[in-house]
Amino acid sequence: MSLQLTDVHISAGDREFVHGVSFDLPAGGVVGIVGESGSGKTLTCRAALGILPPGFTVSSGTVSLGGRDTATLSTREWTALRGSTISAVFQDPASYLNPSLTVGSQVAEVLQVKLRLRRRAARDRAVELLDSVRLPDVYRRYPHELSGGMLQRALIATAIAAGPRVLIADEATTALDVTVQSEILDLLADLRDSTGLALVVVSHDLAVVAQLCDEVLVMRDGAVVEQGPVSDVLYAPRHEYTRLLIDEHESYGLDRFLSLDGAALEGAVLEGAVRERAPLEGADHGAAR
Amino acid sequence: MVLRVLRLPTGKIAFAILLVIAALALFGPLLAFQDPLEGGAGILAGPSGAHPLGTDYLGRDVLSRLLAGSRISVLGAAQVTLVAMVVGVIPGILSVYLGSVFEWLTLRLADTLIALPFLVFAVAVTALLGNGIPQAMFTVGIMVSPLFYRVTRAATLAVARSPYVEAAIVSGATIGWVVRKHVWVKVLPPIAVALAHTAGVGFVVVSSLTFLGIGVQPPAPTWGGVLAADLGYLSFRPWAPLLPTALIMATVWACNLLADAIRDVSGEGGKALITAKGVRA
Amino acid sequence: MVLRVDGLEVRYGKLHALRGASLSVAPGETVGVIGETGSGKSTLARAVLGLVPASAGQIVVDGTDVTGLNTRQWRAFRRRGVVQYVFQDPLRSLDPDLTIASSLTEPLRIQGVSFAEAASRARELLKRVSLGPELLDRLPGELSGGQRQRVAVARALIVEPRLVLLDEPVSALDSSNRVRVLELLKQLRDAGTSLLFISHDLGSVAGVADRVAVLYRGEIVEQGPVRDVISRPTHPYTKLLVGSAPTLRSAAADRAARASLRALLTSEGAVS
Ligand SMILES: Nc1ncnc2c1ncn2[C@@H]1O[C@H](COP(=O)(O)OP(=O)(O)O)[C@@H](O)[C@H]1O
Ligand SMILES: Nc1ncnc2c1ncn2[C@@H]1O[C@H](COP(=O)(O)OP(=O)(O)O)[C@@H](O)[C@H]1O
Ligand SMILES: [Mg+2]
Ligand SMILES: [Mg+2]
Repeated sequence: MSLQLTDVHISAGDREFVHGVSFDLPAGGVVGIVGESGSGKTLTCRAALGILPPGFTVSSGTVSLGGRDTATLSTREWTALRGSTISAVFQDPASYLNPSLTVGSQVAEVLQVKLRLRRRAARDRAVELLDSVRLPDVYRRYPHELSGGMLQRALIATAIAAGPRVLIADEATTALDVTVQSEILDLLADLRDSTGLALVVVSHDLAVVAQLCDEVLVMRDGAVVEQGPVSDVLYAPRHEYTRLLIDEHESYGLDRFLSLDGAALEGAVLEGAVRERAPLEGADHGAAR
Repeated sequence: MVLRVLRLPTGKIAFAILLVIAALALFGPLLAFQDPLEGGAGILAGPSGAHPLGTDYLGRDVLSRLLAGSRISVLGAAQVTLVAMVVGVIPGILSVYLGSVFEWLTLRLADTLIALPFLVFAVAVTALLGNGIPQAMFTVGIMVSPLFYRVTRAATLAVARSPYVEAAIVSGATIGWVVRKHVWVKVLPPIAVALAHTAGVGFVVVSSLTFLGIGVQPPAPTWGGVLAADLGYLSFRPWAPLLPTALIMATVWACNLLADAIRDVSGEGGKALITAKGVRA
Repeated sequence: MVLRVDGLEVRYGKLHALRGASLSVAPGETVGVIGETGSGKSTLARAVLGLVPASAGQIVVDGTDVTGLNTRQWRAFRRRGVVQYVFQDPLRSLDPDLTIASSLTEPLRIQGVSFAEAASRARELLKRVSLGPELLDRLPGELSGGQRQRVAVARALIVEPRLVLLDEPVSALDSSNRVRVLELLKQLRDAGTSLLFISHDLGSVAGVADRVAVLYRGEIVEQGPVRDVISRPTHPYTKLLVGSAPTLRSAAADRAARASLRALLTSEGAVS
């Protein structure tokens, strides 16, 4: 197992924010986490990366990485693992790059620090990495010269520079155009296929996750309300919240104009979801907080 | 706004100090129990019953000079600030709204004023308008107005480009409406900060002009003038500059406190603008 | 036609942001404008509202040719409340220092309506966007993103406009809030208001619009009924758009198709 979460609870003080998340992520596997904002997706990711915000702790359960319980790791060991075993990209790529350094030099720096490459070798490898995220000519460019999608790809290059086994993409495409989003998702899928990179893909959009994942977790208010293989969750959702997410797509997405290969999506299930919308009224917290 | 400022402790302290200063300005000249211009027996004397703060290099009573000088000093600083505000703030707001010609003109003018050697300008204007305190303070006000112009312009620009202002314009709002409803509350706090700064500059400038004989004729007492005189005789009365300095500093400090208080009670928009570059421009 | 845009060109200095865009919106119709970031969508809306000048072409809003209006004529036209605008960013589209009540009533107050009357309209509109009257005394900072966007829609509606331009009204919202706003737009459409719905995502427009226009690098490259554009896209960019929209069915098979469309578009971009 590359990454394994077993009944992870996350608390700050005496308040619990995440009430038990478990999943096994094998090499080359993809786990998706869906949920509205504030449902605990980012906290879960941060727990897996060992970078919970100050005051937050994994109050019970275990996170194990490559078979090792991360609770036993020292700060130093964590630092060594981050980047070379597990890595992440987030929603706002611009804030993770230094505006005064070229993109290429920042990728190369990671290689020098993490893999102890010489400067020359690091530069050559950085050029290769940027090529692999389809950014052939940006080594000498500065972050402000790149579009949002290009920045996110540059950040992915930085994140995979030290050859991690697990990459967490937390809302990595949320701020991007749909066409650019698909480009990033396709890139992640290619990387998984070519290098066996395991992925954790987080989004508030079920469809984004569904495109890529083997297993999906649906979170709400810190709890996993539904979990299972993508096809089960999509075609036979058990929880009303999942049905609501599917229904939102059915009535407002592109799906109803395209021929569906999954007949189970239509009909009874969705009618049910429409009728059950009423109890969820008032589920309007989030974005602004 | 005023009430909310007064509710804050910083606002209270600032108001109290400014009230005392205002009282000094009003009644100070009446309280001066000795003729501030009349030289006495001993020069550069230490404190005594007759001269609580001693005498200066011409034997004049220092306390009386400070009291008598307070009105000129305070009024001078107030005038500087007022002129700077009127000449700076209004064009600052209008430069954003009145089209590119006005914008270009005011920007060049502000640059020119900043580049102009201060004293040459001051001498030229007093030569033109006559050598008096109001003329000199008017000049100084003009000289520091680019600060207000820039602060106001930066703040107005930031507000003018915001979607909520565009929403108002799309509904048919006039420039006046936009300024009254959206711009004003947001540019006020940065202006207040600049104001405190200018009031301080005003005091210092009144003194340096006095020193050079521009505007205020040397025998006329001002806080800055007393300070300048004291500084010349440090070796005889090393403690002497303390009181005029304290008066100037208390006033400047009160202005700064007031600016802080205004910032604390101002809304989101204004706060954001204070920390923005504009204020330091 | 509530809106007719003909051969519209807009330049920002050297940059040619719109190159002859033509588009029309019939009474009661909802038209979607889809395009990537920088394709000129906001420029189109801003030109219609007179916020940026057109360098060529004609814009007719509800029978008034607005192309040559001067500042005063624009103001008079805007006060009639024929057309309104909802901005992309719910965080910045309401003045942070004004209560929801003042923001909501502003368009009416500008028209000279008394505060009492405007306030009672504001209350009605809040109800219409499913928000409670207790929000009236709040500041925008105390509302969630979804609530703010609904307030912004309510503000646009308070003058009962014939045409509402919506610039990416749901792009910054998460899915449950997005659905709420989309539902609201659907109600508006059904009540007969014409909408120009701008988005980078065909998916969010598909459920609401009657027709869509695809804007690519300042030109409208494709236009037609939603169903036709989605099921038979002709321009490569439209094909990529359709192929990129997140759908619930697994899209693994489309990856290669998307890659070749992207290659096609970049090579075309290099030529032009
Ligand atoms: N640094 C933090 N300080 C305080 N509360 C936090 C912090 N990070 C997250 N939270 C709280 O934890 C909950 C889950 O947050 P998060 O994991 O960021 O949600 P998501 O990523 O699903 O939007 C939210 O209620 C949020 O307010
Ligand atoms: N005020 C402006 N000054 C200069 N260029 C601008 C301005 N506004 C937009 N642009 C440019 O015009 C093009 C179209 O912008 P815009 O209409 O905002 O696109 P969209 O809304 O589709 O993202 C972009 O290249 C953008 O950088
Ligand atoms: Mg998050
Ligand atoms: Mg835009």
